[in-house]
Amino acid sequence: MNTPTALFALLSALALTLTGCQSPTLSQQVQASAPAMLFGDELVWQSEDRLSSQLESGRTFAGGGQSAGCTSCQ
Amino acid sequence: MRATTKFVLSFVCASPSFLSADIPEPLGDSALEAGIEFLAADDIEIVDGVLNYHGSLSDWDYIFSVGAGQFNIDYVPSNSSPFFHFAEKLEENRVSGQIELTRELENYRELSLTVAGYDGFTNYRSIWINNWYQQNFDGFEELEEPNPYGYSATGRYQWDYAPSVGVLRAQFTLARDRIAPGYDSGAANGGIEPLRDTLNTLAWSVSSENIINARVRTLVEYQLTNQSERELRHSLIGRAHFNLTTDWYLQTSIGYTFEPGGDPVFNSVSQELINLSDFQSSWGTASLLWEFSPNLTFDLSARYYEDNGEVETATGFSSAAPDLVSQSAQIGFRYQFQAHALRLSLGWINTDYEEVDRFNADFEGLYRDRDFLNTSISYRINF
Repeated sequence: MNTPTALFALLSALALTLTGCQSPTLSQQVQASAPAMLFGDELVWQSEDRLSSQLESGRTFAGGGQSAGCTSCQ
Repeated sequence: MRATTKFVLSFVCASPSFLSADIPEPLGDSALEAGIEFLAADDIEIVDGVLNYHGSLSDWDYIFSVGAGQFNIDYVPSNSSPFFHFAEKLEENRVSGQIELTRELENYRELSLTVAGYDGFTNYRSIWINNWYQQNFDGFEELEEPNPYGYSATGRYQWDYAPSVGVLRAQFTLARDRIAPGYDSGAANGGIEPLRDTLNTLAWSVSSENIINARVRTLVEYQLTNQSERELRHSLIGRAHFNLTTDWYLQTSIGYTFEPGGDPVFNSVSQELINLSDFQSSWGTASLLWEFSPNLTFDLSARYYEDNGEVETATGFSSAAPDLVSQSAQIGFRYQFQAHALRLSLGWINTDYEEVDRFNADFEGLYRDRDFLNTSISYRINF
């Protein structure tokens, strides 16, 4: 992970937040609310595998020590 | 069901372009979900299942969840320690449960509380490392039988500040984990001394979800995590879903995590200071979805992840992970018929670790490169 990559991630995230201040029309809201557009937690609409957090400890977003690999901390 | 979902659903269900004419109006706010996932390499097998029940009572929505998992590991010690360690088949089980209660408040706000608990190991690395300690210090009276478990409570406040367009969420989590401890062989009496076996975690997060226009929906989330004997961990995730055409969708996400290394830690096993480096990880995912018909959707996903390892190991013994790069690809489909929905997926994950140094050759077997097969099946019925 280098600085440019981190900066890109940060700026992209901020850009997404700022553009959310606009007000889409009602028809636009309907189109943006198709099931594939939602960030829901339904199992049948999750494209990402849950068990991959076993391998990629940096993606562990929720609390929980062992899932963060802290058994290995000396 | 939260206000946003109700509002949007009323439009979606009336639009034949989004749902099939075969799919009736929602029968109610109840749903039952079941999912099982399987992750396997040549020496590691992990299976994980979950069952969720969604319901509502008066002004409250609730989700009851139970889960179970099993780890099967072919433990093969490194050649560096042939006299203390031996090959062994390890099997560990885990059970978990969770209750989430949500109450809708006035003015498009809602409050939810989640309590959760588990019993058993939560990841294969902990099992592998614990077994290394159990074999390495076999016969010492201070050696404990591991009994990992944990529980947590989470409070979340949500505000639809621009109904159906903009949502803010704030979340606070308090967690305690009892872990299988490591051991220090430098005790004054010649024995061993267990290291910490309890981790306390405080995590705060805020997120903003927005509809930008008809074709773009975004979610940005920032989390701050404070865990026992660790520095503050900062995580930032940005997600965006795009409606490319009538039938094609693109789901993307990027993430970045940073945790400063803090002060060096003295390890009496190696009699040296371990320099803790800053931990950084970043990742990106992309999923392309094709709505072949109103009932059938195919998806193709890819993910790239990298981190710089958890500890600077050049100066001493540590079981922490070295630098990691992983890549994955996955295909899946989703079939929806009336109130039923089914999803199947098949994926591949490659992990590429930096070589461990000579101080930590015992963990070569744990941190070797692997190819994992990942499959999952999930089902949901609304009623």
